[in-house]
Amino acid sequence: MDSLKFAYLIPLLPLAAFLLIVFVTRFFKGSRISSYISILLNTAAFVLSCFVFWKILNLENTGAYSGPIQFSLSWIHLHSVSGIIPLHLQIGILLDPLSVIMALMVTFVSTLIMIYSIGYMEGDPGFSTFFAYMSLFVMAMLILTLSNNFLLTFAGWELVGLCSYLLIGFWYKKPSAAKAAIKAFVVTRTGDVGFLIGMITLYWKTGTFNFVQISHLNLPALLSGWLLWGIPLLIFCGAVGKSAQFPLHVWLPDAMEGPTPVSALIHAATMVAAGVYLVARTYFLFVISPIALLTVAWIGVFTAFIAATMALVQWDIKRVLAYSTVSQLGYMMLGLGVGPIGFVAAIFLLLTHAFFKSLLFLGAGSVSHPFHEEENPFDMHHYGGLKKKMPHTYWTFLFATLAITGCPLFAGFFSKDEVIAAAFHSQILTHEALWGIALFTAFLTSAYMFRMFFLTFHGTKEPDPHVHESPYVMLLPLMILAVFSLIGGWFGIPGGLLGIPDWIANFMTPYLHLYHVPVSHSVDWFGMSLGTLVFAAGFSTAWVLYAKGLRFASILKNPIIKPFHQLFAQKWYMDDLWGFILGAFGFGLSSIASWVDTNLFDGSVRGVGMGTGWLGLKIRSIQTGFVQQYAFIIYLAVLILIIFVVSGGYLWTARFF
Amino acid sequence: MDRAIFLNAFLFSPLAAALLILIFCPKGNPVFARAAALVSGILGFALSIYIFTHYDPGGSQFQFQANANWLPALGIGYHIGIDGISAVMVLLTGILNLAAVLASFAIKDRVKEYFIFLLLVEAGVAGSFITLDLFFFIVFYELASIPMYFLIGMWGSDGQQASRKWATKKEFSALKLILYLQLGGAFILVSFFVLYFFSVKAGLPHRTFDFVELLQAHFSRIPELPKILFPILFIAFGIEAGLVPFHTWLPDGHSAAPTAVSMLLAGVLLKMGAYGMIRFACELLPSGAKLWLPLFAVIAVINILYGAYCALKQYDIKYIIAYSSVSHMGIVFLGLATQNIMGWTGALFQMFSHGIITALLFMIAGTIYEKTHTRNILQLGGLAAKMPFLAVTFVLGGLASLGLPGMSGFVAEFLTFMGTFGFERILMVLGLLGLILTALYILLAVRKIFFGADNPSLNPEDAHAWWEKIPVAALIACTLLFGILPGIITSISQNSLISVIHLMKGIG
Repeated sequence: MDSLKFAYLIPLLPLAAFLLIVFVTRFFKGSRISSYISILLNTAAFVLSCFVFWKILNLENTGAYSGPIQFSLSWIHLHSVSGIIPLHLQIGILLDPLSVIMALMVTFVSTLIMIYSIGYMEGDPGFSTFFAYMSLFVMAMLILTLSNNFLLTFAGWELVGLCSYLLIGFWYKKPSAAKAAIKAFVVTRTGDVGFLIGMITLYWKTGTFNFVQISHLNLPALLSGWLLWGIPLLIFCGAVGKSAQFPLHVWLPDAMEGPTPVSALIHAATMVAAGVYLVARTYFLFVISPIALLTVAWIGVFTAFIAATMALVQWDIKRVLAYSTVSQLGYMMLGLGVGPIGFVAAIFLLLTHAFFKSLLFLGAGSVSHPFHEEENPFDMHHYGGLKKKMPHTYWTFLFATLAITGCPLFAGFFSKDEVIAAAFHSQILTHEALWGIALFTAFLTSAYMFRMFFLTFHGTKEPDPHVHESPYVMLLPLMILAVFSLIGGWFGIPGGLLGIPDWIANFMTPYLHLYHVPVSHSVDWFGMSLGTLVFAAGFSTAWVLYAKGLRFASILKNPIIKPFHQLFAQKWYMDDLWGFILGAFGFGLSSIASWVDTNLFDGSVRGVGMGTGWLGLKIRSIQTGFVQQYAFIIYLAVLILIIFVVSGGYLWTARFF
Repeated sequence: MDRAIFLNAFLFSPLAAALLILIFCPKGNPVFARAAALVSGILGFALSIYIFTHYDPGGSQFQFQANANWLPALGIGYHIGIDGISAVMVLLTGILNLAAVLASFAIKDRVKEYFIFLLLVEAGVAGSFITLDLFFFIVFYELASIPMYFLIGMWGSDGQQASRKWATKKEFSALKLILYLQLGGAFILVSFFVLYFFSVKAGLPHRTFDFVELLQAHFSRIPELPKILFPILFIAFGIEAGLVPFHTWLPDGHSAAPTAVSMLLAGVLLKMGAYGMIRFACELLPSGAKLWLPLFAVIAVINILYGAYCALKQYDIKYIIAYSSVSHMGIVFLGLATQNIMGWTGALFQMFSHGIITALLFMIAGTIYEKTHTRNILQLGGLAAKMPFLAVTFVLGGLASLGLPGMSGFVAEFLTFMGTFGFERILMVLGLLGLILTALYILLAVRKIFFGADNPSLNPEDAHAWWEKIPVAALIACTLLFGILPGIITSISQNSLISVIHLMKGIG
């Protein structure tokens, strides 16, 4: 399989774009050359991914696929010394169904986003820098995707964090952007510490970081006691940070401060997908521990729920989308958490979500484009009735909304509802409750998405005359993504409905062979109808409340609704909680440390210094300058010596010498 | 061994340059002094690369050796040589000595005297890392520390720290630094005398200061000696390396020093302390190390967290960097305390990596101060638009410092924490919490200095002379190079580290 060795190039191509821009094309001011380089090399990476994907698919179809294909290089090698395990660190890539389909999605979506960015970033003084960062971001994500071991994954993981920091804070002159960038980095890093602890622990137990090697070990025998669930959950901490799960979800809504294409990239193809991908990649650790799975499922469903409630009350269109991302990521975690039965559904949701969520963000960017002179161009108070002015944006946006809300035939219907169905059919504890909450959240999803949709495009408001449709360089990616938001779901139609095979499940089966999950081939009519029902319910609710303008605004004054509205609008007070924790354990302790440093440590040193000075001052007074006094003291001293010697003290002192 | 000439040249090139400047440099003409220092810097850099690349990790324990009798009656000899540990330090010294010379070109005042003192420090540092004689170590130690007093007192600047109660005048900081270093030096001297006087009792034919001979001695045969002497020696070196609570000279001293001196202080002088811990404390008293290092592991973690917390509270850029040094030196101590190969490799890697990174940060901080006349982050802000080169490099330095993969800091921290797991998990977890704090204080500093709205009261120009840009870019290239290809260092140091660990474990 050496013919696949060129897969190394997939992450290296965006890196080359980054380097070219930084060292060469950055200096061509006012030229679009940097964007062309990014897009060209990114497309090349996409083509290579296609090729690798096609190879793997071929292997599967011919029955020749015999497990993951790996290529590794040695990085650090330390010998075993006195009973300590040797340290053998490698960097290498791994090609299997999961990694290649992920690489395919990442390169595809990011290329489209870059094309869109040509139009969106036009005229920005940081045009070249923007494309450099974007390329670096894609590289980091591809490293993470294709890595064959924990260490390299962690490296890609941190680089993804760095790029999000750079891009969220891209407009660094805005104080809010600079703050949001730090928040994103520090909050995700908090999760990363758990990831790091988990992975180091795993190394000491297994002696390797390689995914394939670890997955072939008899883990239940190696990891005794709490490690069995502790290690997967520690690694999950990293995923909680990156994939914005409760309680570390707080950074994602603030990450809206970056340029909109960045939001699209973060929310669809890169950053947040990383967490879900990590859990999928290390699934062999999760399946052996029911506690770990259950935790993942509950964190997921709880996140999905609270994020949906917060999305209901936002007025910033990008924040609605941000919370909807958090919510959808919760669904993905739920799918992974309910056991292997939900694995394919979760991955399928991850892939299809990339299409419709990037479309939604790019659409929001397109909507806000004419409003860029407003203080907040994303405030939905400015919008309303935009349907007529922006027909292309309107239709593509509608496709994405239908996809995410789970309208029959659209992508979300076959992916998100599959996750919910998996929760229903799963055998894990409390799966009924998980299913119930997930279903209710689907209703909320439909409600908040259409609320946003109606507020933006419908309503009685007459839009400003200067509002215009975006240029074609921005619309083209929207249209392509809209197509995929529709047909994307057809690759995973469950159980041979209409005679179409469940392609994604078949494709992923070799990855799942370790867990012996039978792929379900029955059509779940009950689940499908229920899904359609909650979609319709959410749609109708939003229609009644928002489609004709804000007709029932007074509903918020209702004493039952009001406290809930307050809770959601205040983001369940999670920001305040983290603010308190940071204040206490960060800045509070830092003040104490600084006080101790100044007063205790430095103070005591000063004390010694001043004490010495004072002593000198006092002793100086003995030196009076009167010769008689000195003579008297000498006389006394000699007398004492004589007495000492005569009295036999000599013998006593001799012992010393 | 003929190759010893390279090591000799490495040591004597700064001394020779200092001598030339003293004799030939006309007063008031800085060109000669700069040229001489630059030539010696380039020469030292080239030599350090030659020595590092020609060190044979599979060869004898000490290479490039030169040994000449000096006071045979007292067992003192001019004995130099390097093993895998000092080879790494030689490379670091070579890089930083050159960078420090380049960073000194901005000095306008009494240039001749400045360069003489600076070159003396460089020679002292170089000597400390290559000497294999305890007596000469003391000589080089003093050579490296005493000129610091003059460099800081005469060419330094006052601290701008709002949170400090007492004014940190540069003269005061210089005095504090020298008193601390002398205190550490005195304890080292006394400890070395003890080793000298007990060397016969430990099985050597005669009293000696020679390190290689002392390695053959068995100090563990003398009851209580390693037990008592190890902590004294360790703390004595710890004073120089910033061990809490003996670190308070460090922030004041580093901040008051002129740029190049801050770079050398944080870059190599702290490493002399850590190097002394390995070379003299652990290697000569391995049984003491085995007993005491677990205790120092706790102090190491305190170093990491305490330094980070203090850094979070600082307003003066140089104080932030200085406290980050306290935090990062904790990683070195923690690595040493693990007593396994991963931790030790991590510690040595951190010594190298932190040297590069912190020198880089001090260099940028110095430029910011020079251009804006303030180091107080509350008065700065929005500099990224006006000083893009500085902003990019500072961010890169900060990222290296907070352990971003692909840069050298990550390798060091990762290896250290890997090793710490094999030693004590709780300490690893606590130490890892420092990573969050590090990210916090570095990114906050970046934000306050470079981001945010324009600050109209600051009018710096981003015009950089080549001697300012080249070393900054080169230091960044170093952290990237060793971050991506760490094997360059680990393969050189591995065997020597293993032999020290074997000593501590009582094997071989």
